[in-house]
This record gives sequence, structure tokens and C-alpha cells, in this order.
Amino acid sequence: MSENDVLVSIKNLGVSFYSEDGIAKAVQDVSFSISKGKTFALVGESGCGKSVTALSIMKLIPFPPGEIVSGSIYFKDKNLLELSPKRMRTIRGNKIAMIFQEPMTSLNPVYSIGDQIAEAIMLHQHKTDEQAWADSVGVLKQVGISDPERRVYEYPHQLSGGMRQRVMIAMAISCRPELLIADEPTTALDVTIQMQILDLLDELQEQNDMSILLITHDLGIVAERAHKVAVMYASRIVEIAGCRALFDEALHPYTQGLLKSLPRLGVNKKRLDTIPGSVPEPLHFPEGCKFHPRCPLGNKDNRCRSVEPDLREVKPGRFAACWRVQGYQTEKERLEYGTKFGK
Amino acid sequence: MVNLKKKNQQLGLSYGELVWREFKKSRVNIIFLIFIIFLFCLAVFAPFLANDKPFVIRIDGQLRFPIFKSLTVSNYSVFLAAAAGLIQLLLIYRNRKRIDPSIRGAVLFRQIVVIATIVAAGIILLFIFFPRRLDATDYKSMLASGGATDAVFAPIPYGYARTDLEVREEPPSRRHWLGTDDVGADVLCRLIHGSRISLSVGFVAVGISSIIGVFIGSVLGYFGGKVDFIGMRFVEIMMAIPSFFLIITIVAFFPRSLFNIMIIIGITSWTQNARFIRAEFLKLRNQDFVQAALSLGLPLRSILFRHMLPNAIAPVLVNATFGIAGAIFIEAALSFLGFGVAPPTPSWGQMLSLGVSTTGRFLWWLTVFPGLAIFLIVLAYNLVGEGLRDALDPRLRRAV
Amino acid sequence: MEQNSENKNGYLLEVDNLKTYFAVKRGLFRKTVGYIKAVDGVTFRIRSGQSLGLVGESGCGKTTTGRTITRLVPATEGQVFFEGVDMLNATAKQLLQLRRDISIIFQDPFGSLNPRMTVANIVGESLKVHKNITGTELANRVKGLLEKVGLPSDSVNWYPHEFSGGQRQRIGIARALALEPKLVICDEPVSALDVSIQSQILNLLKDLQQELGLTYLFIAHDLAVVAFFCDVVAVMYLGKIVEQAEAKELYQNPMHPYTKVLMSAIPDTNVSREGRRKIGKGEVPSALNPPSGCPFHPRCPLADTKCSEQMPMSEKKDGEHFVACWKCD
Repeated sequence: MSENDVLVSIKNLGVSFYSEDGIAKAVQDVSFSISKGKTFALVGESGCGKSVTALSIMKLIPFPPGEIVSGSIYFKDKNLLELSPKRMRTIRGNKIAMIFQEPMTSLNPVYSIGDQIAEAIMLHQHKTDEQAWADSVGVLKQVGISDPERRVYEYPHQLSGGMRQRVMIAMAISCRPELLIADEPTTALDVTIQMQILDLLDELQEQNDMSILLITHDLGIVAERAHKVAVMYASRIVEIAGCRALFDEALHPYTQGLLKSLPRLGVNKKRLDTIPGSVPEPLHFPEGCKFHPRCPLGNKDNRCRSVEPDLREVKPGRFAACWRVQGYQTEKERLEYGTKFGK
Repeated sequence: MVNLKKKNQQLGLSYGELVWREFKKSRVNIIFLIFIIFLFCLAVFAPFLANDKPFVIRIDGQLRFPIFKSLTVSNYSVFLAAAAGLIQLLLIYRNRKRIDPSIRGAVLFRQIVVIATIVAAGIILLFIFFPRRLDATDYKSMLASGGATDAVFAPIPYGYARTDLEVREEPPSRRHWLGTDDVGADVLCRLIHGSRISLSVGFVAVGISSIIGVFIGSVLGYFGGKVDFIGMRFVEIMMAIPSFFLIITIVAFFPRSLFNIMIIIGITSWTQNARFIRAEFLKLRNQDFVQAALSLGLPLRSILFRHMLPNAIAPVLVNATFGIAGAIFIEAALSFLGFGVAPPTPSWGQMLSLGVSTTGRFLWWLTVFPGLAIFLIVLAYNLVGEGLRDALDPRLRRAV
Repeated sequence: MEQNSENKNGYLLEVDNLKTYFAVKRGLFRKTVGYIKAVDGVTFRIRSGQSLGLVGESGCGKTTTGRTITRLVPATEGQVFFEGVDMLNATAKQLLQLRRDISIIFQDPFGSLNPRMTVANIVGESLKVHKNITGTELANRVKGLLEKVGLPSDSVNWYPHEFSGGQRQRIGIARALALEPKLVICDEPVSALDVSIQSQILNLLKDLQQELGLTYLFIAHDLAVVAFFCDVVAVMYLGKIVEQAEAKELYQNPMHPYTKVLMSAIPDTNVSREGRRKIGKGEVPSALNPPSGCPFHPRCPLADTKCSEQMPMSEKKDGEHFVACWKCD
């Protein structure tokens, strides 16, 4: 992967939320890069910081209570975090677009869908009213809505959930963005519709050479759709790998646990494997590795309990943040570990 | 997502405490709440603050306590009710420390029922057995003539029903801090005694309208369908009647008594509450926890009043504080127009109406002071209501 | 087996041709303009100690089926027998007993618990009402239930919002178990939970089934979860059961085209970007205006004119495998 292929590069991103009860570090030290024309999946359970990461790229973190406290987000050669709000508006919706989980509430019920798509086109591409409307018919057709000439005049409540998500996608791609952020785009949809929407995203990606940041909790979707995967747990990335590599051999105990706990068609088991306990709250993160209280390996390990591991390349193309993964510790650390913590 | 270990095993917080914590964060809320409590104290202790009977007086070498003798049945009823309220507050405080939160609601309900019964019985007994006495002795002239000595008077040594034509329509002075009215009664004294009317009108009227509104609203909201359809048309008819004119009409037919005014305000202003409760119930009806209660076969009473009502009551509580302010206003307006309580019972609205005397003079102290009192109490209730709404809202969002 | 199915009493719950229609009303006088056929002729039986899974997409009527059985929603037609008692015509006394024997676990761990009640009240209320248990005995029973579902027993005085989603779902399970029911209707019990919590709850439900001999009616949209959890699976589409078989049989040998679509739509971690299947077009039609004939025919790759005209009946294929499709011979 050469440098030129990288569309978005995030380094050491940190986002905090301030509340009466304390500072919640929603995202800590997150670094990854998205290649052109590829799908990068960010997977994790609710509250792990995956959506906050996506909102940071759009610079849509509500302030207060949230604030981006550190790091950089390079979109091509521009650091988005240093752009003025005005410059950012020319990128948001234009070069970077986003679709949300809830197709019911993300469309404005009082405007026809044509109005809503045309507005974005007129704003970013400086087209006339008529051109913009013609374009919106075009994108509706592109996202597989039948009879788009009639549909542009319809209102959101006249469409089904799947249709609304298609309209959302049409709005997002209307300005041919280079990066599409899809935040749980199919969670609210039925399984058969979910597949259709994901297929549509794939098609559009091929046609427009668009990068997709796919945020989801569903490992199955990740396996079938992503090129590269980052697994997040408790505000940090714990593992990054190529998609197949991850599902063939997960390195981090959390990823392993997640994969084992899924019920699968055709696999007959009396019980499911589980990860004990529950996800820690951002205000009460445990010391050391945040996964250690639930980890089968780290539970009794002094190092896991006291020092938080950062993300390192443990094999070519494989990144993990776990003291117990082979190849993680440096020679120096291994020596120090031996003397400092004892075995 | 709570860390179960982190919490110590003390008794949990009740919903009321959560709201209270939120409420007291704003200083304005506290200031005006204290103001309302202060007014309550004034109203309760009015006879001790402004009375023409002395606390202690020596007549013929014997100590006497005429002020206590002069207290009427209604005074004792007020004391009884106030004491009961105070005991209830202390019990709530004690419940918080001693009683398991899971049964706290039930205990509180039982306490309220017991105390309310005692108060009601006490008042009835007082009315039946309390001897009517009238102490018309003019202790001041006795003092002046030397018939008595060593008197200790209340801070404002005038009765609210005093007529003293020598000092009528006097502006504020050292003797009468807020001046006197057309028959020479002390304005401050009448203001203090008038607070009883205003506060009780607000409370009783809103109590009546809340009970009617909650009952009708919950029935309409829970049963829905035809019951709701017919019921709502009835509510709409009630809302279409201009209530103030209805009140004036009714008051014109019935004797001018405080109770009539309270009841009339109460039964004409429940519609808003009914609509609030109905809307909440319609929403709650389909919530899973109500379905869960139904599927466990719990009795209707429990579903309506344990599961649904506590989740629907917030807007009614907020509306109640605004309602009290509104009722005070209506009473003042009625009294101003001459439909209110009959003199000599003092009321703020009635005092306002004396601002322009029969001789055509504008008596500013009779306009400003009662006006200010009405303004402040209405403002206080509105602000407390606003604070309560804010305190209930974020909690609701977080808790549900 | 054969004898058992002859004997009606071998089943704990028998649902026969159950229909639930909702009237659609419009206008000032609430005139009925049509019916939503949420449940349209559903038939199934559950043996004591087994679990039956009801799978389908949103709006297929699976939740309404569960609620109709417990009489939270009035049935339009059909029969439901619980231990031989006709539930839909039960007397008030019988109904009270049924309410103890059948309980529900709800989907939404946030909406299904009364936010104003402590855990002790939520779990213990039915014990108080139905069994007159109070005081220390009640407290002990509640603590016992909480321990059974894996919650610390000192959490009795907390409010639901102080718990995480998974813990709340455990409270809901404790509430459902309080009256020692025979049948538990699980309405999407894990679909609102995180992946790592889902498996905990599923395991818990399985353990409880073994320990207490429970019978489950398990309603879910996720075929993988149902296939793991249930002995028998029924697939619903637009208010009708289109296929019903033992779980193993169903995923090894799915017959109805809709079941096949559903199965291939489940994202699988063993499938890579390159190797995945494409899926058919079309969306679930509205239950207010269902298509004629077989409800699935507009989306079905095999459909012909017969499918669009005549409604296929559920037929027994081999063993206990039922399919409603003209094309499955």
C-alpha cells in the first residue's frame, strides 16, 4: 500500500466528553487509515467509541459536552481538525458524506425527498434548481428506486424503511463524495433488506471509486463487506487487520471472544461461548488494559492489570494492543516485565 | 452500565430525591421556594403576628392570655393542618433514612392517608365541640384607662376586622406601616390575614382540579376507543366555556363564601390536567412495562396507579404550580369585582378594589402593597413550577 | 412420537388457526376502512420442556402472535389451548391462573421495566399480588430470583436506569420467572443487546430451561439465534407460517423459498467479500394490502400464475416438516 493510496489518515485521535460526573474519554489514541476505493470497517459494541470516531471525521462532535482533545485527521493533504468551520462545510456533505442508522428520523418529514436531495446538490455543486432536480432523479435511479420521476415528489412517510435508507444513500452520494461514512446503515432494517442495501453500497463503491468507512456491531457484515477491519473496545482500537486475516486468526482475546460468542447456522452447540462481565463505562474504566477484567488471559497478569497496551504491529499488516499476543513485547520490555512484575 | 461493586450498599435514592437534587441546583428555585414557605408561615401564624388581643395582660393583678382565648375554630384547624404537614415532612425525611426504598412509596401513601384522616376528623370534631366565644373586650382602652397593665401585644397590634374611623385612609406611617383602608383597618394586618385566603384558594382549587383531571384523564387514556372519543368531546365542550364568566355567573347565584370559590375554580379548571394525563396514558399504554404488568395479571388498580400514573404525573405536578398561581389570580379578580369573600374577611383582591376610595381619592398604598403581594406569590409559584419542570424533565429522559 | 402427537395433552400449548386483525379506522366517526391481518391463520404446537422459535422480519406478526396468545391483544378467530384449557374463552379465574403459568420476556430492556420502581418491586410485585407473599419472605424470594439470573442480590433497591442493558434484561427474566411459569414467551430477548451480552443471556435462558423445566416460545428475527436456541422453528411471513420444522432439519433442508432467502441473508463471518451470494429484490408488502395468493409470490424466484392466485396450504412433507408452498414437492 503506497502513501498515495491513502485517502484518510487518522493519528492519535482523542475525544473527551465533559459531564458533572467527570471526563469521559470516549475515544483514546485512535489511529488508522482508509485507502482509496476500499471499505474500512470499524466494529465494536455500543459505547465503544466507533460512532464518535466517525463524527470526529465530520467534525460534528457536539461542543459542549464533547471536544476533540488530540490527534490529527488528514483527508488527502488537509488536516480536517485545523480547517475553519467554513472550509469544513465545503468538505462535509461534498467530499465526505455520512449516512445514519435511523432512516426514520434522518429525513425531514416536511420536505419531499427531491427537495432534500436537490438542496445538497445546489449547495455544493452550484447547480440551478432544474439541474439539481434532474440530478436527484438520476441518483434515485442509481440507488435502485423504481419510478424515480414520481418518487422525487413523495414525502419520507410514504416510503418504507429500506426505501428511506436508499434515499439517505442517494443524498449522501449525490455530490460524489470520496469518503462515505456509513454509521450502522442497516441495523434498523430487516435482514433481507439489509443485504440489498449493503449490495447497493458495494455497487456504488465500484462505480464511483469511493471509500467507505463502515461502522457496525455485526461481525458477519464486516466479514462479507470490508477490506480492512479495526476492532474497538472501550474507546481504543484493540486490533487492526485485513478482513480475511482477522476472521481466520483473531489475535486479540476480545476479538476471539466476540467471534466465539456468535451463534452460527449449522454449528450445533449446547451452549455459546461467552465473554463474562459487561463493557465498562467510560467514567469507570479499569486500570491497565481495559479488557483485563473480562479477559481469560489478562485476568491474572500483573502487566495487563497495570499498564495499558498501545496498538503495535505484531506481524506484517497485523496490529494489536495486547501484552499477551505473540510478538507484541519488545526485547527490552520482556526483560523489564520479568524483573518488574515477576512471573 | 453501572459498576455494581462501586456502589455501597446504602438504601437507594427514591425518585423524589432525584428530582429534589436536580431542583435545588438552581438558586432561584430555592429562593422562591423559601419565599413560598415563608408566606405559609405567615398565613399559619397570622393571629400571632397581627392581633388586637395581647399575648399577656395583667388585669386586676391576674395574668391573662386573651390571644389564645380569641382563637377561632378555623384558626385551630389551620394549626392542626400545618402541624400535620410538618409531621409528614419529618416522616418523609425519616423514611429516607430508615425505610427500604422498595416499600417507601406504599409507606408514604399509608402515612398520608392516616394523617389526612386525623386532620379531617380533628377539624370536624373542632367544629362540633369547640365553644363559640367572642371576646369583645377592648384591651387597649383598658390599658389606656389603667384597668390593666403589663400587656405584651403581637408585632402588629390590630385586628383585621377593626374599624376605626378616626384613622381611615391614612397613608403609611409609624403606627400603620402600610397605611389603613377605608374603615381604618391596618393594611399590613389585613395583608397577613389575606394570605390565608390566597394560599388556601390556590391549594384547594388545584387539589380539586388535579384529582378530577387525573381521574378522568387516566380513564380516557387507559380505555381509549369509544370511551376516549366521547370523553374527549366532553372535555372539549368544557374547554370551550369561558371559565371566568362561568365562575362569575355561578358566584352570583351562590352565597359569597371561600369554599364556593375554591370548588368552582376547581371544577372548571381540570380539563388541562385531564388532557395531559390522557396523552401520557395513551403513550404508556403500549409501553412494554405496562404490557408486562398486564401479562403478570396484576389488578387494574395497580396497573393504573402504580405503573402508569407515576410515569404520567410530571406534567400535572408542573401544571399544578401554575394552576395555584392562576387560582390566586382568579380569586383576586373575583374579589376585586366584589364577587369574592364577604368582608370583613380580608383578601388581597378585595383590598385592591379599595384603592380608589368613595371620595375619589387614589390610595396608592392600597393598590401597591396587595398588588405586590399578588405579583410576588404568582411569580414565585410560576418560577417554582418552571424549576420543577426542568428538574423532572432531564431525569425523565435519562431514566426512561 | 406418533402417539404423542395423537394425544392432544402431550402439548403444553396448542395454537390453532389463530387470527388477529386490527381494524383501520378513519375519519370523524372512526369508520372501519380495512383490516391489517397481523396474524392470519397461525397453527403450531409446543411440547412441554421444548422451545419453539418464531422467526420472521419486522411486521410479519410474530410479536402479535405472542401477545395474542397471552391475551394482551384480542384474537379475531382461532383457538389457543394451554394444558387443554381454552385460553381465548377462559373465565376470569382461569385467566388469572394462566397469567401465572405464562409469562413474557420483552425485547427492549429499557422500555420494559417501570422506571419509577425499584428492582425489588418490579420482580416481587406479582408474588405479592398472586401469592400474598410479603415482608422478609418476599425479600428473600426476590434475592433468590436475582441470584438465579446472575445479578447481585444487594441490587434490590436500585432503579432500572442504574443497570446496563444486559443486566436489565436479567431483571426482566427474573420478573418473568417470579411466579414459576410453565411457558415463557421470549419476545426478541436479545436483539437489543450487544454481541458479547447476547450469548450470556442466551446461555442463561438455556440453563434456566434445564433447571426449571421451562417451555419457551422464542420470537426473533435472527435465524442463527433461533436455530441455536430452539428445538422447532417456524418461519413467518406476512401473518402466516410458511415453514415449520425441527431446527436441524430446517437449516439442513430448507424448502420454502423465503426460508432460503432468510438463511442466505444472514451475514456470516465465514464468508468473505468475494464468496458471498446475491439476494433477491423486493420488500415485505404491507399487511394492510397483502398480495393475492401466496404472500411471498411477488418476491419469489419460482412463482407462477398459480402462486399469485391461490393461497398454498401448509403441508406435511417428511416427518414434522411443514411447508406452505406450491413449488415444494
